[in-house]
Amino acid sequence: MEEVVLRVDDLTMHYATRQGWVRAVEGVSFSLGRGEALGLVGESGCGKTSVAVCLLRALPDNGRILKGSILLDGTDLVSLTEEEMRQHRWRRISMVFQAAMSSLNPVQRVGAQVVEVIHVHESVGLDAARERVVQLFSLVGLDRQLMERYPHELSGGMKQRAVIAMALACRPDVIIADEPTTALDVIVQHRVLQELKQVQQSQGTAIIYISHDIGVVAEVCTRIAVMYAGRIAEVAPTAELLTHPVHPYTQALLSSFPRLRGPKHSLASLPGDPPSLVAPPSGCRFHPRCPYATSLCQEKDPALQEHRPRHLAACWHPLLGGDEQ
Amino acid sequence: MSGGGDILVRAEGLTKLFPISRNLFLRPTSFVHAVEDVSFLIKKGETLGLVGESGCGKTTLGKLLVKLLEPDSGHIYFPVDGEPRDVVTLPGRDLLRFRRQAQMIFQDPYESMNPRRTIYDTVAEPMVVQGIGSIREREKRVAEMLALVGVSPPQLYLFRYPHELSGGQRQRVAVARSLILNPSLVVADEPTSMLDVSVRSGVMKLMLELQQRFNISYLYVTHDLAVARYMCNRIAVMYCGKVVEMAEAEELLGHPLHPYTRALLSAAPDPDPGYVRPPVEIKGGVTTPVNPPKRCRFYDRCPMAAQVCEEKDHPPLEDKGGAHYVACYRV
Amino acid sequence: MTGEAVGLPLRASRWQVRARLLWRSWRESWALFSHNRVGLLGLGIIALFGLMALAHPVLIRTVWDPLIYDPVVGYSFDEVLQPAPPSARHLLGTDPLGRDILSQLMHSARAEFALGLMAALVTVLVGTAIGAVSAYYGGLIDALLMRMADIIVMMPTVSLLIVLGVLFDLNMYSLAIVIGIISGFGGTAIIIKSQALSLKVKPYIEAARVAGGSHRHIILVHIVPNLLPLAFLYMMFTVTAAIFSEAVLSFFGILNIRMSWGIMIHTAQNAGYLLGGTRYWWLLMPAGVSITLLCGSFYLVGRALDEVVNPRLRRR
Repeated sequence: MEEVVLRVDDLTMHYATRQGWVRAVEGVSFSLGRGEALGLVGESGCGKTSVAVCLLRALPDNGRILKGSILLDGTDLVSLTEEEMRQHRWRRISMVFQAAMSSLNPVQRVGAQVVEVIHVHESVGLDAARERVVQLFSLVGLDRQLMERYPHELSGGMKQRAVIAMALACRPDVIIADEPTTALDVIVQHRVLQELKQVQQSQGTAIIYISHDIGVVAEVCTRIAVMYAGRIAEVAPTAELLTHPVHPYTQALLSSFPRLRGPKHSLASLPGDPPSLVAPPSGCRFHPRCPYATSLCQEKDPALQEHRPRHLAACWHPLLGGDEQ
Repeated sequence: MSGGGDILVRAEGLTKLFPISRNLFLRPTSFVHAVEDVSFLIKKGETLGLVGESGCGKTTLGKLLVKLLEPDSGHIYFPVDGEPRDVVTLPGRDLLRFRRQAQMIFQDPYESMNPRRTIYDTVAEPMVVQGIGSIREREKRVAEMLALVGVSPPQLYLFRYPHELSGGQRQRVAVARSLILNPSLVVADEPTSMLDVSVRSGVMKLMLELQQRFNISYLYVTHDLAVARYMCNRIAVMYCGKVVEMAEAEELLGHPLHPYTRALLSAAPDPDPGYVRPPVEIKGGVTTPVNPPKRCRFYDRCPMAAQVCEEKDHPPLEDKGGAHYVACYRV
Repeated sequence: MTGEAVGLPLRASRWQVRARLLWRSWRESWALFSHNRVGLLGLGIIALFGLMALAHPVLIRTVWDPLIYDPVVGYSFDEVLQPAPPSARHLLGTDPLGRDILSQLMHSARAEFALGLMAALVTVLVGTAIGAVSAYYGGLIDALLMRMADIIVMMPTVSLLIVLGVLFDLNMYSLAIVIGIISGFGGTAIIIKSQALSLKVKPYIEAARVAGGSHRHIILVHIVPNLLPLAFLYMMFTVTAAIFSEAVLSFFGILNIRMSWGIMIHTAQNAGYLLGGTRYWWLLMPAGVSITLLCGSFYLVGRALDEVVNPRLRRR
């Protein structure tokens, strides 16, 4: 069995709003192997970004982690003080966000910003830090000349790579990438994904890749977790999940995805909309939109269970194909 | 595949330049060549897809077609009250008639509706500004349209505000608004790109269904080739203000000829574990559409670029057999 | 997203529905406003002055003898020395001309309200019209209107008003209109224009154009209603400015007004009582405090409204 670097157990996080508690993350558990790339897929408002926010302990004022643990190499991030958490950010766990522009300081040269991250978090001299940034830039496919540029002088793809270089600066064990390529065009996105994959493989950094686009996630990740309404619906190795989804939601998601290749299957669509997280449906949160729902689904919330080897799903009526008869 | 056969719209040599800097005498000196010398036609009941990356001019082209923007040159022939007219030079009164025939659906369902107006006000607006129907008739028609697009029961939604609806519902309302005057052409500007996957396919299917029913032609603007495959009869690929390839959808996706189309296709993510993608052969960087040189727009990034590509003007869009048009010297 | 569905019986007439929607949006705004304590305090003070203004004519008709208590021509025969300090008969004393200060204060409140609200109304009309037209049409019209606005902003308001007051015979109404135009055409128009510019590029404006909507339709239906909340906010600040300006101008005695809070201070000043330190405090304090309180409370209400109008300022 591979070594586990990050283990999230029964994580529950709510936001307080005028409308009431938003149950953004409810009882989420998963583990991440060292050097593994795990995808976190779901529609807007399913809580995938909130999971990232918890992992980095970057909660807004109205957010509360109510339950659960986040074990990073044995340290529970939930119980750390803010000061202790600061020791872990960047060095053990770092992030790449969708808006690269907001992660970069507009009035400072790009290279200097990465140097600063290293210099602040590790007892490394400026020269050594600089040397490492040169390596990082070549690692993510950026010309070293670009270190002397300001963020606005770089294109979207270059900025996103610079942010990836920054995330890698202190050689963290885990990088959380939240929709890092969503704002990019297809060709640039393809490039950035290639770099990210290459970095993950050569540096042995584990990645949690968060996206709404299952196609993008499939490109980078070896395992995919599908989230729905604050819960994990299904986790499985990529190929297994794409070919034999067990959860009806995953299946609907896949068959509503227009394909470029192969026969033009007719697109499926789910009735209704993703539920409000203030008052989520009872029992299985997917039941109002699920074609297989029964009264059991309305009453009891299914737990994440292993239905096939390494293939977990939270469903009372898993689609196990031939096995069922 | 391409239904009917009668031509609805014929666009010829459309060009739109946006001035970005001016000299001392306020004379523009440099331009963004958003759309340059683009010609195409759309048949009745057909969908033409317009695919390209952000900033390639696809939205500008869509807006030219519904006269939200005036082209700097070129013609758009479109039947107004039965007789084909050049829409570009249409006088005021006929313009109002044209507007009944050509509508648009916008990308952002959160911004395309006035937050202070109810769903009824929003959907009925075209009837109101065109002075069609009494209040009773409008109300009836709006309810019909809402039922048609699957926002039902209509009575429950007529007097709600946009913010009380989900993204998918709003986009359905936007479809209702665009179809309430029975137009023959609808320009759809990335109507599903901001919707979630599970909701998106519903709106796509709805648009196809209504097209069948009312024999509407769509100009479907999108950045997603896979969506274009499902929505369009023909696809035109734009790069930097130019159409570089145009063909029947399956032909274009199955046998892409232009190097840019090929790159787009092989870079597109696909959740298919068995698929081995060909390498994306394209050089880095983005060609800016600001005062571009006369040569092929794709020259700087093209893996097949040769001497001829640098020396000659941008290649013309030529039929390479079977109505597969490509603008490239090397194909 | 407050998801309270409007109960819509099919038989309800459209006007009933509209009225219900309006009522609901009022209630939502009030819910937001009422979270702001400072705003509520401001509203309370305004209400207090409103009551004073309403009570005055009633008092004159019932318990106060107009001969004694009329704010302009009354005279207190009981007091030997004028101005007389507060007493049971005259709660805030009398002025140098023997008139009851409380009566003057209450009488003036009405005028101050009229002035402030009228100036504010003119501001909203002028500011919204100029801002919307300037943003929507752009080009030469915009350049012309905005340069005029710049000139108005550049001029010091109070000095300008003093000059106008000397040249023309300004009464309460003309003053309100002048202040309304100055603040509407100046700062308010510029701020509203920038808001209108951001509205102008919204896709719903394009949707209206594609449908065949005329310029008039787009401005009146889509732009102006979305500007009104902001305009309403600046209305509150204009009230403050108007009351304050009136006080200054009256203090200099260049307004054709018979009684106001400014006039009350002016009267005391003219008779030389303001030089005597705090000995004749009742001549200065009531009017001074009232001006400060009413100006301040309209400002507080404005700030609280800002939070309702501007979602970014809202606390969750």
